[in-house]
Amino acid sequence: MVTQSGELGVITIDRAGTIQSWNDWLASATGRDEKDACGRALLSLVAPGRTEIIRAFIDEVLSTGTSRVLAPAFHHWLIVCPPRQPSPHFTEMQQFVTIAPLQSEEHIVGAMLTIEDVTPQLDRQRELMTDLQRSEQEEPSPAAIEAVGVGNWQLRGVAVRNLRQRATAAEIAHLLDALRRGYHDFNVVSSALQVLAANRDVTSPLIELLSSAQPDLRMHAALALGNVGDPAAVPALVAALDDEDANVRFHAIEALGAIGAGDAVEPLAEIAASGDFFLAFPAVSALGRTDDPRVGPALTALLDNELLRPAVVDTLAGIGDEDAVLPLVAVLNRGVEAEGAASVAAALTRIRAREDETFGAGAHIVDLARDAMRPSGIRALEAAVDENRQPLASLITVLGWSGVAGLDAVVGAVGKSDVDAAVAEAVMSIGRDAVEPLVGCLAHGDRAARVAAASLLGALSDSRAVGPLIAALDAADAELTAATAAALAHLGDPAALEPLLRLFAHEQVMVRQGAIAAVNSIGAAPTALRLHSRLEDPDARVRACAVRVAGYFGFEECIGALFRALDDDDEEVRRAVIEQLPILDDPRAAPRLIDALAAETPRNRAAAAHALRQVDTAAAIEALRRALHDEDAWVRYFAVAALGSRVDIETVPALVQMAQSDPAPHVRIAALEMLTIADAVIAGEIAAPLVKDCNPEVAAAALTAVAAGAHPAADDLLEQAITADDPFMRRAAVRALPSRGTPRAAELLASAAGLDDPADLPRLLIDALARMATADDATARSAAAAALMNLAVNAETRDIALGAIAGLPERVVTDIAAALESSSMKAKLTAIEALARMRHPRASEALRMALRDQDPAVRRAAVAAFGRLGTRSAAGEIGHLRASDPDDRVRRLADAVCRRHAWEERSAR
Amino acid sequence: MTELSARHTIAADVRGVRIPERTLELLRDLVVAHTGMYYDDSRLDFLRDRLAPLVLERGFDSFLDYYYLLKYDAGAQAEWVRAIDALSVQETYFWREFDQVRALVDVIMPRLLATDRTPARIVSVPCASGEEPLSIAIALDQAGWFQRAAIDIRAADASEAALRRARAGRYGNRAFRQIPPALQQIYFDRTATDGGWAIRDDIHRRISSWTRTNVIMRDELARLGPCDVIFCRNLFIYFPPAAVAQVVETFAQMLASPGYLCVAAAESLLRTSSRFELRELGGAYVYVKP
Repeated sequence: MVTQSGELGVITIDRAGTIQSWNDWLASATGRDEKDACGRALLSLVAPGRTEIIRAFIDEVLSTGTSRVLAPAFHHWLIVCPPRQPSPHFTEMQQFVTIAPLQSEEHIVGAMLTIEDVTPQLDRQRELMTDLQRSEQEEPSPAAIEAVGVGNWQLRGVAVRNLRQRATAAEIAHLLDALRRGYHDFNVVSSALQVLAANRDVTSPLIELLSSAQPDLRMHAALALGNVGDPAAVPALVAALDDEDANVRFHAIEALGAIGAGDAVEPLAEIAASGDFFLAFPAVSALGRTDDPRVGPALTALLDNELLRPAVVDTLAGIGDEDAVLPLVAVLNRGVEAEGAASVAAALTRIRAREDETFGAGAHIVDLARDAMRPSGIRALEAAVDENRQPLASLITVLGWSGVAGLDAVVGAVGKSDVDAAVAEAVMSIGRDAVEPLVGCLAHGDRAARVAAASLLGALSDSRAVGPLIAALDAADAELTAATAAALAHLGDPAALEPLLRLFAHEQVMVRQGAIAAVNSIGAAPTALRLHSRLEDPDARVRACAVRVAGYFGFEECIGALFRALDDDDEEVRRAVIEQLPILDDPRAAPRLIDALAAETPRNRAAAAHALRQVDTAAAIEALRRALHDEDAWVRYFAVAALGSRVDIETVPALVQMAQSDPAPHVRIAALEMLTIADAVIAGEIAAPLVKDCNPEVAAAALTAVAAGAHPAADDLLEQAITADDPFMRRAAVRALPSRGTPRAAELLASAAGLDDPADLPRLLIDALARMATADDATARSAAAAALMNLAVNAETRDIALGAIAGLPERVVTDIAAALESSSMKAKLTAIEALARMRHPRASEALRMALRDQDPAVRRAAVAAFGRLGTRSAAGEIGHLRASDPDDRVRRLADAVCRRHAWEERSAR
Repeated sequence: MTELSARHTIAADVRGVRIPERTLELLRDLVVAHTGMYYDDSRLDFLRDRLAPLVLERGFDSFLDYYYLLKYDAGAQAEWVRAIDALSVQETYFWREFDQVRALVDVIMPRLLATDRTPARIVSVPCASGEEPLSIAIALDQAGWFQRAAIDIRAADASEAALRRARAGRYGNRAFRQIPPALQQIYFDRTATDGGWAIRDDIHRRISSWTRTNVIMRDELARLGPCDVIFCRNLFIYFPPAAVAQVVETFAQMLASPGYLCVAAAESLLRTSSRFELRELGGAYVYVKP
């Protein structure tokens, strides 16, 4: 049902609440004309006794930027006036009121209020209810079912209001004029139109305004149509491309771009090619926003136009596919200037990334580019690198695709931290040919280049690098030496053994540890011979390193020396042995560790406690129990951790005492963690009062213990924490909640989705919900999956949430697929993406439902998803869509997918 | 090498060291609170790689243990010295960003002398392994300022390892990539043992003190003042805005009026402090406390 006139009152106010515009409808309804209303405080016209609540709503809208609805069931009216038509039930007009922010680019400059007279609808609703009550035994009429069949009053209200109304051109013109007068900012007008467009047809009156005699009004109508985004406006906007006024044409182009109208591709391409400086660039931009197969060829045809080329290249970067690769490389081959080369490189790498993500076809893009690249193209890229043009990483990457020809420029960028990933990729792509230049870089580059060259030579694992790397070990720079040692570890060449062993005496721990790792990687046979003497070396650092290597390999000929080293004068040497004892296959090891735990220095006792986690004897456990009372906090800390799952009932009292009152917070935390492992119920009881501990880290650990336990107040404590002022506790609660796996926990997590402090909370929340979505409890699982879907719909959390959904198990498919039944287009499209990423047969099965959706945008998304997945079982249905879908764009996409996957024959059948 | 993203799963391994979930972020927060140095997500690898040897050396197999050590251990101060040594970027060289040193010699020193500021008090913080304060001393010596005025140059750094190298005054060839070779010959002597170069003793002694100073600790930093000129270059790039503001405020308290603050070209203080005015002096940009 469509009402024939725009029955809507529209008021705009500034931030102070002063009325800026007041439309004819209101003048008629209230008897107060615009001249009288403008300049007054809105609240002075509001019904008596309602000013405070209306003020609160307006303040909320102005401060948060969110809209507010005043439902007639609660609020009845904003401005008292009689109904437009006499009512048998109401003396005052029943009003449905929306309050929406008016936004300029960055600020909320005021609000727009719309007032709708819903008295007739409420009259009708009452009559239907009465009819129903009268004829309880009779079959209700379809109208009654439609109107009151929904139990929830809000939903019933929506049903009653689900009448699309049409604004008049005069109303819209008035609004445009009033807002223009008031704010001089078309963003404000746009936000007002968006509010109106929520439940009224603004497209038709705006199209009418495109034919207005006033160019100004035509221009604003075109702009507004772009903001409204209704495809129904496309023919009128295409016609407006021939408007006599350039500003109207400009905004028509912009609007077509905003709508993404496929039918506008050809006229837009003509405008782009016309050379009209004022209109060509927006036409290219509009093409870039249009998802249509005709756009790519239209754009690549413009690459010869020097004026437009930068814009075209940027646009192709955003939307281009394999068909754009050869024309882009041709631009390089023609010897484009440095800035142009950089933008082409950026476009090529973005296309590669997108094709890889979408079709797993990144390598194909690289092959196409490599085969098409000519020396002149490589020179263009190199010149851009020489000038340090950005994005340098893209230039390096594309040079890497070109192989040896781009080698000099790639090696020249070694050591530049902002492009290290691109350089590494390029070097690995070039392979062995990069070794010699990198060796030169290792010898003669600056510090950063030498460090990076060492790492790259290690990654290439080419034996020619061994000698130069060994030579570089003598560098005065510890970081370079450490990087070189790490590279030699990759190469595993015995020739490096002796120089690496010499590093055991290095003053920097970073170097010594790099040397130990490298020696370990070279292997046992040559090492054992050289190690024995170093166990007796006068330098304690050498002895400690030798102990660690000997322990790692467990050389029999070194065992005696290792045990003797337990009596070494140097504490670190003894500690090195203590750390190795658990992995020595020798019966003396455990007793000596237990001795060390009792008699060594505090630091070595702590090392002994830590090492005993690997010794599973009764004596070791008893020694660790005694160590819980050690005077040193680290001994207690590691003793608690070492007991781990071996905590028994006799140990619990000591752990309880530690959790409650140990002077070291980290010992308390460790005790709480171990108690939870030993007995979650006891841990929960002990931990509940500690949730309020003054040390936040102890409180967080307590919260985790409570979540795992069965304390009756656990859910309440978690709820308090997740709504606490302290972001640290909110974070702790989010991390703790999944272990409960209950519907209440899922509900609490879902409720936290609106929180954004601390900044990492959304990510933690998604991780937590993903864990919750694997819970045994089906209700909790569904609640978690639904909350994850909501986060996936939100643009800010979309990628992380989709990533999490991708990893969910098969049994969650049904919960995710439920969103395909949503009334929200965004939710449906998100569900398609989520199901596609799950890459599970059941998910694909659910996805096929979307191929049969009524909305062509949903069918297109489903076709695209199957295109990415390459699911052959969907080939028949997609082939059918190619042949007979009523939507042209669905047919074209289905055709492209069938061709890409060679589904021709199957789909033909 | 573990990918950064892997940390967001459960745990990752770096050279055998466990990184429980979010531990690097905890360490990052602790480090910025203690030192002012901030490691955004893209630089967490650096933090991890620099601290990993200390974690291992301590006998820990988890970064969380090391976090607890720095946060709760009674002897944490000693460990902080080692951590700061590991985290410090000490890649510098003589004559680095020399324009401001030239401005000191040509413009600021005459102004100080004209107002009878004596001795002229110059602070270099962080001084790393000494290249910056020694460049200042060489430039002042070249211009003959030590004969005309009393000058007190104080150098400070948070890294004890860097200060040890600075006090030793020995440098490798790479430290001389910018200084004119003739000056290298005049002010440095070849060392027989390691093929490096030793700063001339009389110039080295021009630096009156080499002090370990954590600039984020207000009291420690303030002890370097009062002074007339501060060189604090290539430090603020590692600091979050709040820490920069705090340090700059302390600088303002340390400096006489007018006082001169030299920061690196990439470090703007215009949004950080209203206590200084940016002026061009002798072709270099210097922040001046009026």
